[in-house]
Amino acid sequence: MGWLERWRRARAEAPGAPEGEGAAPPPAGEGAEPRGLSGWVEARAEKVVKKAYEIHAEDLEERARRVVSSVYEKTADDLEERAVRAMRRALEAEAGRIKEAIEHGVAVKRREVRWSLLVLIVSSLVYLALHWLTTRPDGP
Amino acid sequence: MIEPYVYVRGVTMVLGAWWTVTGLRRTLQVARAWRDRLRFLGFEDRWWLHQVTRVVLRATVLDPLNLALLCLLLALWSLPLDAVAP
Repeated sequence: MGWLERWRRARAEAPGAPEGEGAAPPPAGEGAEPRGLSGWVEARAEKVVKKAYEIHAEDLEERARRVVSSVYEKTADDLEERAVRAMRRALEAEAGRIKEAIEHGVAVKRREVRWSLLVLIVSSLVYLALHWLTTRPDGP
Repeated sequence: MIEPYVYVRGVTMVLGAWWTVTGLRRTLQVARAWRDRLRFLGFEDRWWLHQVTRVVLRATVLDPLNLALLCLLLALWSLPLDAVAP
């Protein structure tokens, strides 16, 4: 196959290729059919990216792990802090309610004691008055 | 022959004492029931007794008005009858 024939084939497979380039470089694949300039560029780019990924994969993974771990730790601390705060607020509210209930009970008992004492005092005064009326010495 | 006023005063005092005793008994029963319900909180028995005593005192003699009424009642009950009608 002459150079002219090869150029024609390459031009037929890659119509966008510039004309004055001559024959396109063979693809980097192992013994694959040449696919023109764009195919070669694509294969080359894929290879380069693959190689770059393989070189930096561990580093990238490590960095990603570190970032995720850091974010998780920050989020976990924040969540823990929020949970503790919410629980403390709930406990304080419950303690306040219990205290109010006890104070209310004491106030009710105090009122009951007050009314009982008042009743006893009034009845004692009434009995005292009756005693005085029944046993008073007769007036002139 | 017992005088009517002495009789009435005696009955009143006995009733007052009886109500006081039953009130204290009921208070202790309620406190014991609450102590059993809240046993998981781990309060000591002495602490419960202290709280009950505080509540009882706050409802009676630690309230100024109740203390005044109590003193007045005791003064009335301890009044000699001869002073009222010799």
